[in-house]
Amino acid sequence: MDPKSDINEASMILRQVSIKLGNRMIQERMSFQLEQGEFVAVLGPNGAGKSTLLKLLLGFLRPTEGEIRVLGKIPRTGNQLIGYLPQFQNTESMNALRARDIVGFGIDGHRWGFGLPNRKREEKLDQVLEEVDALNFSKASFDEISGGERQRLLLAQALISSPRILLLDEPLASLDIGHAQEVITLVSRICRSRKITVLLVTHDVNPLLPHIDQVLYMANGQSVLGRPDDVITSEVLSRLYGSRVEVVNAIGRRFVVGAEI
Amino acid sequence: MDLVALLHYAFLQNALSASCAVAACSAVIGYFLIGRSFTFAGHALPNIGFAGAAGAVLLGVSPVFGLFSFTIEAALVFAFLGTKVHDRDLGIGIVMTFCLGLGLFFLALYSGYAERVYGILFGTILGISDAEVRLTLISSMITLVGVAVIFRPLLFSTADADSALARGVPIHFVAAVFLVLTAVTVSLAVQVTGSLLVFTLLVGPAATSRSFSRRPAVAIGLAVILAEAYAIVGILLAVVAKTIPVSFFVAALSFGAYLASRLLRKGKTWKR
Amino acid sequence: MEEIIRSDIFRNALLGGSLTAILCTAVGYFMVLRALAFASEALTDIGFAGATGSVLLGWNPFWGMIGLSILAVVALGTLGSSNKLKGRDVDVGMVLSFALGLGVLFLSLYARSSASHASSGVRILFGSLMSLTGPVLRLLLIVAIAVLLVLVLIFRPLLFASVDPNCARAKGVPTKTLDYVYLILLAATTAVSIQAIGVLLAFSLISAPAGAAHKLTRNPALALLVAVLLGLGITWSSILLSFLGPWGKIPLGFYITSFSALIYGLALLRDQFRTRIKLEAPHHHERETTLIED
Repeated sequence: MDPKSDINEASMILRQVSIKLGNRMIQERMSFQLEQGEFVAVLGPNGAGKSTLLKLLLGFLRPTEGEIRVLGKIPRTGNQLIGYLPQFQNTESMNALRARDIVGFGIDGHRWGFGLPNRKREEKLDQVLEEVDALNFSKASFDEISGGERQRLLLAQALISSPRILLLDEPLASLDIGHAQEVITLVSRICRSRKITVLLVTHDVNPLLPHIDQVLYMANGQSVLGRPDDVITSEVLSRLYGSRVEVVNAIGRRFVVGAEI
Repeated sequence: MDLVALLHYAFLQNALSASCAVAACSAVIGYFLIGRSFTFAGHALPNIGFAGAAGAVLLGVSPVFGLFSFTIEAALVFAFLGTKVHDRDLGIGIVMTFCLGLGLFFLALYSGYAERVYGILFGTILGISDAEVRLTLISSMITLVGVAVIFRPLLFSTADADSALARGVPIHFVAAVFLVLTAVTVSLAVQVTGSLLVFTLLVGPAATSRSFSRRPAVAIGLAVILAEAYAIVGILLAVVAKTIPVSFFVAALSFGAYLASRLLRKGKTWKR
Repeated sequence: MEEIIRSDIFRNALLGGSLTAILCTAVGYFMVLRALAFASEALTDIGFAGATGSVLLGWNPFWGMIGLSILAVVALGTLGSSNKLKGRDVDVGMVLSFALGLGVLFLSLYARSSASHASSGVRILFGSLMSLTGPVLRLLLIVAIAVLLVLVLIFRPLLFASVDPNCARAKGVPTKTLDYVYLILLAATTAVSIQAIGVLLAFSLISAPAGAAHKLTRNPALALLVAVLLGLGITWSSILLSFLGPWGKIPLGFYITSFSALIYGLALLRDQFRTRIKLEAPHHHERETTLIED
């Protein structure tokens, strides 16, 4: 796809990164490395720093200490190689434009000027909309479609600039199980076909288990990265939380008991 | 400048008595407007009333009647639409400016209209007639009595509408009555402060007094005292200054006191 | 009637009115999108003090208004949305009223100083066709060109930032800067509209055509065009009526606010009507998706 894709270069590297907000130490000396094309779920209780981590990777914030490299460079805003889906915000202004226009921002919303009508642009739009299966409601506005359809459109917006990394901040939060499953299947498909590194922040890892490569579990100022089977265990989580946590495996799912997920 | 001697003049007596009546009503109504997050009415109603006042001038009638009719109707519409109206900034703004334009139209048909425009916008308390004073005093009395009658349900529904409804308080009826009383007060206040600055007399005193006490009786009482002070001092200063209208002084005093109360009470949180 | 249409005054009025309309509606499109009606009101009130103050000092009201408005924009900090303002409506209301009070002071001092001042004071409040003279038109033209140029330049990033500030920021759009820039454009637009429609009535032309356009179409380029066309239509009709209408001396402002309210009302009605029809039609674009695990 992208001729410059060097599969050997790590997608993102964090070395001894600490995040401090005000007086609170959110994460202490976090270190991990992700390879290109990995699908990683980010878990942990509220306030553990999941969204903050994404903001660091996007260049919105600087870490209190430590180094971050995203695709070999220091994070900065305006990196077209990172696709971002922020947490759900229901604003009136989202409804004032058509879905096409909003997805189109992913192509050139950041460029100055007016932008003249352009057939290539329309074709590219149609292509991505096809990929996420949203073509038949591309002229609708956001208040006319369902939550799942909305997420698909926002995903299209993130994908249209051909990113190498995709950051999704709680994309499943306001969705019912059916739509959530839709979105997960779509993300997984795109991750594999385009070889994109995906970080997906969520509260319930179970629907994701068949698809993800690793889990990044953040809690209590600490973090652990590893395969789901290795990370979501009573021992690891108890160590992380600093108190007794039980992981129960039942009916093909994992239930974390004794701590806020 | 012998103020005592001036007090013998009818115009000053009229201005003072009417203003004191209006100030009392304004302070009380304003307290509840703040509590109900409805202070924008202190901005919208006077502008809508402007059209009524202008129409009345054209018809050769006292502006107060025009004010009453337009503001009371508007208040009833607001009551009907409920609190959703608060969010419809755009619609309200367009209606408000339409009323200003309408008032302009009425006044333009009337010769010598610049003076009249200023009169309604800035207030004409120093030129208030005997008949208008009587009307003001009676209307103010009715308003205060009206508030007294609905006082407890009004207070309850302002603090906690859901509980009040559950207890059988007729919150919609009380809200409608309150809005009509607001309209009456606004109409009377336009005489003192003009339509541009009603907010300062209506909301200012209660906004200031709420910094000092959470207890309704105390906050309202203090608000009334402040409002009376602004009105009386404002009038006296305007008499001395001659070309500067009463409304400016009321606005300045009101804002000054409010600023002082915010600075003095910095760090203390209170319910909006 | 021929005579009137050929006169300089009429031509100036048409030119000045058209420029004002284009400017107001273009800026208004974003004002509605960003839900800044309250901030617009605030800028008008604060600007009022600036306008009347500079007239008292013998200057063109435009400079006082734009100067004070820019100060207000900077002082109030970033206002990406009106929510920050709305949550403190008593505070803001008091400041605005005091600004109005200052305006009342300045205007009283100015108006009482002579009879001609009295009527020009009213013109600041409500605008006047007669005041669109040569020098005024030149200022209007310069400001209009400047504002429209900036608007064209920032069109895409401003649209993006207005709709989805987080994504926009991630893509490198300077959202905070754009917030300020836009408010300054809004302040300049309101300030320069004083001549034609006055401080108190400028809000109409800024909000109503844009508000109606937003309800008529979701396509941004189309909506902008519709807004401008509606604004021009309103303005031209108003100018014609103001010159040729039955009552003669009626200020332009009345016609503009009336037509604006009418247009917006019609757009609202159409919206209500359409919603009712939509609720009755079945939801047809939600596809059945089969869940197949990869």
